Amino acid sequence: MCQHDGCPPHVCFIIPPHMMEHVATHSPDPTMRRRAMRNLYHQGRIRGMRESMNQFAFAGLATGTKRRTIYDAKHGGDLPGTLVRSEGQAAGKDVAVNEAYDYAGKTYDFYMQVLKRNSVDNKGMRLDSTVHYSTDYDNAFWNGQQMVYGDGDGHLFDRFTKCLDVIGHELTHGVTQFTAGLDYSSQSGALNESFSDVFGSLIKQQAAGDTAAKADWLIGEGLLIPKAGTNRTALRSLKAPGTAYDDPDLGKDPQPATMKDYYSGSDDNYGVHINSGIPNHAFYLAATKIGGKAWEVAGAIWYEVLTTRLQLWSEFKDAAAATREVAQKHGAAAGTAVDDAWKAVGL
Amino acid sequence: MIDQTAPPIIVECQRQGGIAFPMRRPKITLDVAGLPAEERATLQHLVQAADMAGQPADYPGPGYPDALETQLTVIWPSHSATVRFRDGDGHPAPLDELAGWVLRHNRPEQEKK
Repeated sequence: MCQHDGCPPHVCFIIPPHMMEHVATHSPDPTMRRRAMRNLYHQGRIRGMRESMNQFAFAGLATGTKRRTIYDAKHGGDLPGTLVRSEGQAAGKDVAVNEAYDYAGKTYDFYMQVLKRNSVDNKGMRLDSTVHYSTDYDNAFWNGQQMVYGDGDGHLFDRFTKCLDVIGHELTHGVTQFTAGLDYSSQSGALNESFSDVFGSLIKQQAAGDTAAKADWLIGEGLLIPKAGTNRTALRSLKAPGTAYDDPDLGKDPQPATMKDYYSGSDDNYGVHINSGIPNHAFYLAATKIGGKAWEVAGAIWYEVLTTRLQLWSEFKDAAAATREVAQKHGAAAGTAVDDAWKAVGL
Repeated sequence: MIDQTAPPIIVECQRQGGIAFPMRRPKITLDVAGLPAEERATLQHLVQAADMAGQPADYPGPGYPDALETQLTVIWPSHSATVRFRDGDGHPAPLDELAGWVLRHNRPEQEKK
């Protein structure tokens, strides 16, 4: 058994975190940086030290400066792929490259201008994105250090760089990783998903200048390729969970709006994309009751809770209690709106 | 020792998960006997490269948010092998190549890329 101090029984990492952090931040080899980051991720999870992800900045990254790099996987699976566009370079002909660049920029600007957050890690982390990942790939994901986008299959899904709120959603997973660290399972995972939907929507609303009353509150509108006679509106709706799609090929949107319809099965990491409808709807109700631009008050409340009040295993009741408390800072009307919103969804 | 050089008779692929999780994604089943000779040869080459018998049944994924999960099953006359893997879990590229080929193959001709 390992005799190192700090290692739990039967588990030992030979390379200490500070060395791994150095590799993750200073190695010129992207593969080495990726491996080191993954090791840090596992070490942090096993040791309960999410701070291992939070306490260092990334190499070569000037703080307070927007830094975007876009790579092309050329339909393969190797990350990050071939560098095709760096910060400040002009747009080219590749739509996916341009969208990944532009929307990462809008997401950075939202976090910096609205929430005073300096990139995903609040330390100026460079926003790396890879487009044209794999073939017929129907997904986008955040792998702990960068964004990855597929082109879609052209049958059900369009390219995944198409929607600003999808890109905002994925980059917000990065914000959550560096703050609350919400575990991606059960209610903490549904909160993780919900915060990504909330801020993805707010990023889109802010870019469009929409008020809460005018916003569509949809995630991924236009990502599904339309088909006559079916509902392929979007991936999710914060306004009306359970109504975003209804299609013979895709099934029906199963998201509940309230705890009465809470999903208790084991699919989807115990419902992270399903039960997120409940806190999503609570945010929508609070934001529309408060009125005005949703990112100004409701968004500020949710952001403070995400970054200062929640932790790895937080549940819905924790998020409800924390947002109720933080809302009081924004006045009685905001406090009432948030309280009513959680009550309406059964919390 | 499993003989993976024999032609498979069925190859199945199903993907689920990702940012669009609850959406249903159909399981694709290819009956190898129904394929033209050239495609059978291509598929057999991809199956051998994937080395299904040498893979764990389930790659332990790091749990990336919105990771897509793929389940591949290859059935030979005397045995079968199933592998489940996710984005970013370190699985070898030939598994993705086999899955991508199977998924693309099932689409109508005009929709294949």
